[in-house]
Amino acid sequence: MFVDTIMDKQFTCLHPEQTIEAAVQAFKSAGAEMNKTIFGMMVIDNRDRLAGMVSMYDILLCIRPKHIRILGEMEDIDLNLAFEGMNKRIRNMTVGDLMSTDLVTVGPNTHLLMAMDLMVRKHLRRIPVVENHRVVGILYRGDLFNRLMDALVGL
Amino acid sequence: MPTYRERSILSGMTVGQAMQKIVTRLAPDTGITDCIRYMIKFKSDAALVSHDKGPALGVVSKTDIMGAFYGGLPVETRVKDIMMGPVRVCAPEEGIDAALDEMNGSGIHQLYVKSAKKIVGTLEFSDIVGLMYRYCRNCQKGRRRPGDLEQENLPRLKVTDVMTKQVAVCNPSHSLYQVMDLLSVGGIKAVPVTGQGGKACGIISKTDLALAYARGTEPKTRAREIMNSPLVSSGPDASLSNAILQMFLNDVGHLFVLSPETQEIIGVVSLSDAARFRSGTCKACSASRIL
Repeated sequence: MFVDTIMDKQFTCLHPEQTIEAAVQAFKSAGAEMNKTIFGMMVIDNRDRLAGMVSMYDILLCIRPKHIRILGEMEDIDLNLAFEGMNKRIRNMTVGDLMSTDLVTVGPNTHLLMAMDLMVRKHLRRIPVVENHRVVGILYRGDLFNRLMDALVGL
Repeated sequence: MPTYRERSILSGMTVGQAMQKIVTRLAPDTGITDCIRYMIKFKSDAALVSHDKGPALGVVSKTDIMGAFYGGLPVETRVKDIMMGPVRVCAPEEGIDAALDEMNGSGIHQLYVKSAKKIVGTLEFSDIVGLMYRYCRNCQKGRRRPGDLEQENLPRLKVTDVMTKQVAVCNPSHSLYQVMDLLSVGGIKAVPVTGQGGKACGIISKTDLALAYARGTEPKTRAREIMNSPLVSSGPDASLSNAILQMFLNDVGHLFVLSPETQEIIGVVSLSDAARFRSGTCKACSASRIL
């Protein structure tokens, strides 16, 4: 019942200089490879240390047009015109600009119930697993859920 | 003595209906660099400072960040050392016009929403502008009736009818100190940079200054080093609708008006002004007191 039994030991990471466009491509390829939908990835620096995490939420926040609330009220404005600006932001912003840096991590020997508590309280879908300052895996909420349900009701 | 009741199209709508539940919170020990990063990510001009789920200790705004930049504070300074108080709040049950009064009175553009001693949301100026736009168009009490909108010149309002003519500008060789002076004296969010003959060559906003600070740029740097160009602009005879479209495409809140002959800046239109005019807000209604 420890994190190391259900974490993903194979994972792709991003680098701070990559553009958001490249990050989204990475999500897709990793998803295809692992047969999972990947909506967030860890970012490592050039010393292979965990620098941050970029998730779908971070990217949506970045591409959101700033004045959409005012403009959305004007019925005759075609909101599709916002896509041009959003496109520019995806191509120009980098992973380093967007990543969250105050990360919660767990160790391979953390008990699953502790990991579950963190995920619930902090609304996390994935948690990096770190040992001796090195990233050794990533724990997904879906996998944790399945494992717990397995143990509880034998699903 | 006659009783006077203020009339506003927004009466009856509560803060709770209009607020956003996203609240950007920063721990008191957060450094200025991370604070700037948060503000850019959430496209917010302010952030609440509190310990995890604890009571609000203060608010940090882009204005405070600029003050730190101006004063030469190191970028590692913690937000707890530059935050301001008190945290201005309103309750979800309050009417939007009361919230608007509070914002106008304090010269701020964002209020936090507090319920049962906890901050539960934020109410930004742009939220109210959007709502006002929606309601004013359908108001039965205004001078303009809904049917008038098609016959009126409203859709054909030009930029020159709406623009503000006083525009503070700076030149490319001004230092960032001088740019910040202009921003704080004018109470504005961005200042255009004009070169020879008053021709617009760029723009510097509070966000650009914050970014410069985060990247280690010194305040004595010249405006030309950090300005963004081109400036989003149009001629005075462009339609207001087109101006709004330009602001949308470029994701900005202001459009500068250039003289067609000299390319000098002759005015500025803000998205809030444009929305106010287009919605047909009448002066009799207190909602028109929006800046």
